[in-house]
Amino acid sequence: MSPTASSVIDQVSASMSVSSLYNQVIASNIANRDTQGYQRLKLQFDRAMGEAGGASVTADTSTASVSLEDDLTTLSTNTMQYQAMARVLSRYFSIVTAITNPNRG
Amino acid sequence: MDYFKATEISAAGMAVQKARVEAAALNLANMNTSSAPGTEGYRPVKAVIRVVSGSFAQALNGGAVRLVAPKAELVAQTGLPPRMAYEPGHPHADASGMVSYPSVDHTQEMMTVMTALRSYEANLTALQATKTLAARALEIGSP
Amino acid sequence: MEWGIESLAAVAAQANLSMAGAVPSGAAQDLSSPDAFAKLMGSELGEMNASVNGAELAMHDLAVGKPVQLHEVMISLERARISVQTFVQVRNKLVESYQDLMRMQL
Repeated sequence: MSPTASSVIDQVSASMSVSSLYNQVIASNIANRDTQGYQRLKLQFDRAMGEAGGASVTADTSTASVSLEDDLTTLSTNTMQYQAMARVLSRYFSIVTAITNPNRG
Repeated sequence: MDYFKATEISAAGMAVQKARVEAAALNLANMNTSSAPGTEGYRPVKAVIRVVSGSFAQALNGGAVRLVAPKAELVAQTGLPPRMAYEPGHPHADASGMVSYPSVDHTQEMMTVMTALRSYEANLTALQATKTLAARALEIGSP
Repeated sequence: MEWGIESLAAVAAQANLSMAGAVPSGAAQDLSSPDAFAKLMGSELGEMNASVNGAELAMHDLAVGKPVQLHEVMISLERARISVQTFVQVRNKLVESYQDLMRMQL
């Protein structure tokens, strides 16, 4: 079995894809704040997050008004989440490397 | 590469906010330009922001919902009643001594400039976030 | 870790394989048969090949401008790198063991 066949890697990768999509959604909501007739977007999760969940973009029909600060906060949280997962992946790969190639770190 | 969509959208957002500032700047610059009686003076402009259909629209997940980029157009407003001021000695004064000025609300234009600036910076933040995501992804695998 | 300790141990065992010793995980290999060596190398090579091909495909998509996720490309490349390194390790150890064996017989 390949040392990197782990489903954990696939889960993290799927999660990063969701964060990447969310980044686009937030960018769209921020850019279209003053656009006539614009319908805010949000992410809808197709499966439970525990599995390698997919998410799709849907119209946000809630009438609660979202401030620009709220959007920026969400953007920031999402970015940190993505960064954390990227970093975690790198660490994980270096652990696997250390195990399978003891001569090289 | 998928990061281009978010980048395009944020860039379009910044262009739109810049247009709003331009509209306000034009209006403020011309607000004290009087017009002779019977002539049409300066017409205040407004940034009309609509979704660009076609070029920027990006389908997601099979095309159900599209991410769209905004676009602003400066449109001169017609039919606004002029702001009248009583200045009997003014060369443009009419029979009753009233001079007609463009209908520009100074306070409102300044408010527009401030909100547009804030929104511009927000779009810039979103652009930085997209760049950060790409940079972090490239670092995967580096120790 | 989910795929965890036993798989890691199996990989480590492969890297330190001696001809007299352990059977690699996942492969029902009979080491006493004359082409066991070749079969073992073959399966390792196959896995490595698959991961490198996957990485090349991802790279191609990226270069051509397809809407591919950047992190998926990086993960693909990293998996290929580890796979190749592991293969080289296994190969080196196997060759070493083979050479030991050859020396013993003389």
